[in-house]
Amino acid sequence: MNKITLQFCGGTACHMKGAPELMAVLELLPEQITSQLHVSLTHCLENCGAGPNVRIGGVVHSRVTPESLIAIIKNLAAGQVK
Amino acid sequence: MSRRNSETTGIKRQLYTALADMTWRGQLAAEINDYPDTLTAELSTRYRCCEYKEKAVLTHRLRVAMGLAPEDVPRHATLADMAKIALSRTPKPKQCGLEMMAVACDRCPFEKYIVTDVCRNCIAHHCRVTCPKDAITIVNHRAYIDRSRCVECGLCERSCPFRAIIQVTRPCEQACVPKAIVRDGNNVARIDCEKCVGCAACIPACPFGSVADYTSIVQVVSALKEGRSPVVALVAPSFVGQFGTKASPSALRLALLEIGFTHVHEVAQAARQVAEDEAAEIKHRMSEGKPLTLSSCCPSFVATVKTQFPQLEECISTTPSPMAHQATQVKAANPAAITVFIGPCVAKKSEASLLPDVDAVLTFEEVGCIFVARGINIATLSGNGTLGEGDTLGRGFAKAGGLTKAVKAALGEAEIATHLANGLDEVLQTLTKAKKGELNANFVEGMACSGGCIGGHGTLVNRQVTEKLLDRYCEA
Ligand code: FES
Repeated sequence: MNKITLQFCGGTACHMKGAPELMAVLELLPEQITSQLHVSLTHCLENCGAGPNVRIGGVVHSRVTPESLIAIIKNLAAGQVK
Repeated sequence: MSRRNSETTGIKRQLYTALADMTWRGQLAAEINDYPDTLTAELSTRYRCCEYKEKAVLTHRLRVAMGLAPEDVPRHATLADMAKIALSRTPKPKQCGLEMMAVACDRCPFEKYIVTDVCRNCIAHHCRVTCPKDAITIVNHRAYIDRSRCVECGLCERSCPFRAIIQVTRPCEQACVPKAIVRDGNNVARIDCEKCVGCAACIPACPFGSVADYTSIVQVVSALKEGRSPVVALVAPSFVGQFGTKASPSALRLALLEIGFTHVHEVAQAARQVAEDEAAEIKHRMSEGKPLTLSSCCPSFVATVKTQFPQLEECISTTPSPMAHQATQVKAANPAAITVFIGPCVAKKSEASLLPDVDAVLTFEEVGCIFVARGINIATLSGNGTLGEGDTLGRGFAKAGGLTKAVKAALGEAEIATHLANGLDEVLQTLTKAKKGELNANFVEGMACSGGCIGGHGTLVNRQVTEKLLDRYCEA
């Protein structure tokens, strides 16, 4: 099974807009989902004004909130199972 | 404090960033009047009853963020007027560093005990029977508390087998260990500056974001822009990891130089000297028959001693804090230098207001906003080195217990009993014991924030995250 790749932006703009909180959200997810994730950190996703940004499976999502992040991940994880 | 109240924190940072940006472009007075409009249009969600209230709250937030108290501005001053006042000031923090903005306070219910829907109008009526003031009657098949009689003793709450009576405490009051939050006649919360120790626990506690601390963002950014005098950054040991794991200590140095600081120092350097001096002082005091010395680094700890345990004030070490020490060194070398302490702490602002050598204090959060305004991404700056000069013991000050460790190392052979008071609750317990003469310690390290400075309210990441990085940096 392919892993879902999550690339968090660790740039200063995204950091100040709540990237650490987003990353902390991953800990709330059940093991069966987190085991499907491949998480990394990058310098900048070149959309600094609209952070926090996360590249998920190749697509950059902007203004991500903890809630929207969980929803996106759960959606993708559900798709993987099928 | 990114972990709680992300919404109010987000707005605050947006304001700080905008202020830094307008100041840097030299357009603060020209643009700030329109800013509340721009921001309310931008924020799609509305928090207050109407747009007007929303803008009124923003105006006060901006005033506080520019470092101005209500008495600093004339009545009916526009934001542009305030900006001019802010820009004409030298960057000096205020003694009472926090403001409870009356307009923003939602006047949360004042009644301490409330009868909920759970009340079954039972036969026993334990609540009515236990109430010593006959304040409870039955109205509409439910217990009713007569506020004019209630003395808020809480007996009814404990007596109800259904737990139908609950205690409600305002979040700000709940968070305030020294009980410095009072209410005025209209139920609006107010900070009693005589009791406040400046710990800033009320800032993240209020879900309406009504408490704010004065900042020197405008004053510091304009000093950096003018570049007339050297502006020196004194960075607290807890900086490690604050700007994310991608931001190395030497990259932070480059970023600070980039925004206009002329020199960057680690306060860890002075911390080491502080430990040496404090150790000598403890020894000296003990030889004079004074068995107890209290640490002087944490301003909220010192304020707690002074306001609540005046009989112990004599025990506070006279050694200046690392911030004060480092600033004095910088000023001695160059009296024209503007010293800016950058740290995790809101209470340092009050401490600095009384120190001639510290010109301004910024929290990591405030500096982060200046970086964003200037378009600086620390993660893309390179470097593997340190931020400045410092050593293991001095850098360890960032964590509760670090000071004790350094003091013990400085004492060498001499054995003393030490005690760590970690967080304001422990501080109160410890000082109460000391007052009664029941504390078996020659030295107390008092830290108002749990975990020490890395748990401060001006930090950007959870202290569990920074702790590991700090340990690694200390060993480097
Ligand atoms: S800092 Fe995150 S996109 Fe540039």
